[in-house]
Amino acid sequence: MELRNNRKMNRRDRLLSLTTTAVFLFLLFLADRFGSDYETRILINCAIFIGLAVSYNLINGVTGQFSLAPNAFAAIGAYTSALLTMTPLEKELSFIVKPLIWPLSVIHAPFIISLLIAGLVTAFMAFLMGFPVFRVRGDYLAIVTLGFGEVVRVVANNAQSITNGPLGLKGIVNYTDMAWSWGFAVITVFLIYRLVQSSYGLALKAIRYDETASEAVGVDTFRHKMLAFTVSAFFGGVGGGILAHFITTISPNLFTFFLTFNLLIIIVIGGLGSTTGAVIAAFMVTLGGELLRVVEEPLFIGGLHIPGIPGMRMVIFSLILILVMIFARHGIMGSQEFSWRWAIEKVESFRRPKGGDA
Amino acid sequence: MTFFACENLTMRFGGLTAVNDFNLSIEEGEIVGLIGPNGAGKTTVFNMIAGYHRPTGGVIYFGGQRIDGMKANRVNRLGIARTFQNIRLFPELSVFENVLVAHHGRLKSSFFEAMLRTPRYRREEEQMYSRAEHFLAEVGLTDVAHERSGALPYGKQRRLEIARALATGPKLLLLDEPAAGMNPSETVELLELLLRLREKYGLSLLIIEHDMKFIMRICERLKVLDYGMTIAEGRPAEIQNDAKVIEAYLGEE
Ligand SMILES: Nc1ncnc2c1ncn2[C@@H]1O[C@H](COP(=O)(O)OP(=O)(O)OP(=O)(O)O)[C@@H](O)[C@H]1O
Ligand SMILES: [Mg+2]
Repeated sequence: MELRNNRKMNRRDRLLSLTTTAVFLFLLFLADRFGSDYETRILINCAIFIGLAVSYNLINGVTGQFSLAPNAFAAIGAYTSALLTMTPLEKELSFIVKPLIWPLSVIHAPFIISLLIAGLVTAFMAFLMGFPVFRVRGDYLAIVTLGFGEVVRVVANNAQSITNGPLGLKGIVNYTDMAWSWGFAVITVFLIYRLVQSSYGLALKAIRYDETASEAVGVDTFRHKMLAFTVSAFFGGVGGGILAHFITTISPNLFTFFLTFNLLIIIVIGGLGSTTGAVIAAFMVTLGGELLRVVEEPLFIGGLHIPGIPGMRMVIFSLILILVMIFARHGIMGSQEFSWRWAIEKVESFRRPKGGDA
Repeated sequence: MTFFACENLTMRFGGLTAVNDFNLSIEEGEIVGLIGPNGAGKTTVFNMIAGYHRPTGGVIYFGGQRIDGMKANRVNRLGIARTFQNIRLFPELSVFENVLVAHHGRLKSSFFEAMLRTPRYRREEEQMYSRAEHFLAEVGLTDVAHERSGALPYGKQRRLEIARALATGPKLLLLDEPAAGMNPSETVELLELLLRLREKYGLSLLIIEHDMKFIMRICERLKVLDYGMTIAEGRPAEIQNDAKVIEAYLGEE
């Protein structure tokens, strides 16, 4: 048997993947056509969180570098793309305290271009931040990224001639529909999954397990950490752009640490390092969050009035996180990835009679 | 041109001089041993050569260029691979993946090409798989290829670490106590393996080892360190009878 077969996709796997993706996209299409407005909004939310979580997982899970920046990245992406898609007239009307600086005031770009630029700008920010941090092994990444989040918020609040300050940006065109959001999710998952499965992914995992040994086998740990961080930031920034054109109003207080916390919960529940896990957990947490909305609303049970407790969902999520950390440290997937071989073996092990009397 | 040479290497940690004025040259295909009591500074010499410590003083030449102070990954790509005294595998990766990753440093395709799986990347990936299969077979670990490397017994972990180092394509291999924790029959196998690999790949070996029988049999030349100082050097037979060496070892016990 050739050893490599265990790592490679064969014809069957590729066919299965294509079919499943097609079926899934068709289901989404049906949901888009026949679902209620509320339902499509939840699904769009799901897609955005899948993309954000999978890209966050690349640096935190796969590479094992503890970044706390995804909210800041989403904010940069959101502001960048929104400033590009708004028409000069809209911008002039929005920026009432201080006018928007030239050339942002006259630029008007299509959505897709604005997303790409949002991604690039965000990746560049990550590059600038990563450079000094990863020179010293990356131990300070958490602190630096946390600080960076604050800086972004302060800048968003105060650089009025770019961000419009606390007023934020309103009237962003609602470009993000099912197609855009799921397009973003599918492309992000596809590309990051491929990266993780490639030789580069192996090097990133090696860094996560042992930096010293990685260097000993010729892996430039600095370069690879930079790579993971900037790629992660790129998709995080694009996700921010998608998000901005979904909620259509953005302000500095939208991108708080809560967003990062949510994503952290998702990738921990999914299993740090597993792209598959991040997708599954993003689904669960976003849908779960909707279902749990009940606990924050006032309830009438048998004539009894229970007032809703705002923030209760966060408490529940935190509890779930703590329980996962204690009882299921490896999350849903561990650091495993889904593969057809793995799935087929799982199914067959269920079908096989137990007890060795085969 | 010398193949490999250290001149006046010194390493100080605060007030402690771990290695003092160390000189060594190695010819192509040579097997040299580095011995000495615990704490003599042997591993520190490896760490300087392999790019983990910038020497406090002295220079290191390899293949005609200075490599002292270079980063470890660059030293590796120039052709020096090492193993660690306390085995450093990627425990959560499979045995096969441990060897695969050793080829990554030579990959020419960018991450972008890897993401898109361009023809060039695929060609390189094929090559990477072949090499990994080859080196696993070389150390006799093909049958455990898909096991988690952290779950292997000790002796096999040592051999895997050698396969991984070999897969980076070195000309000089630094082995830090490769026989530690092995039973006598494993030690003999290791000896045969190393001699065979040396022949086949034209390797030079620098070996640290406490197992005297092993080191005396495999090395053509030995260097003895004590408290960072070189106290003796020569052929195994000469070293065995050197009064200073005997004293250093006995004094320790
Ligand atoms: N990074 C470091 N910082 C401070 N001191 C160090 C460092 N590395 C090694 N030393 C000290 O340098 C001396 C030499 O250590 P080294 O590990 O090189 O010895 P060794 O000959 O490999 O010993 P052993 O046979 O026990 O492995 C020791 O006293 C050790 O404590
Ligand atoms: Mg040592």
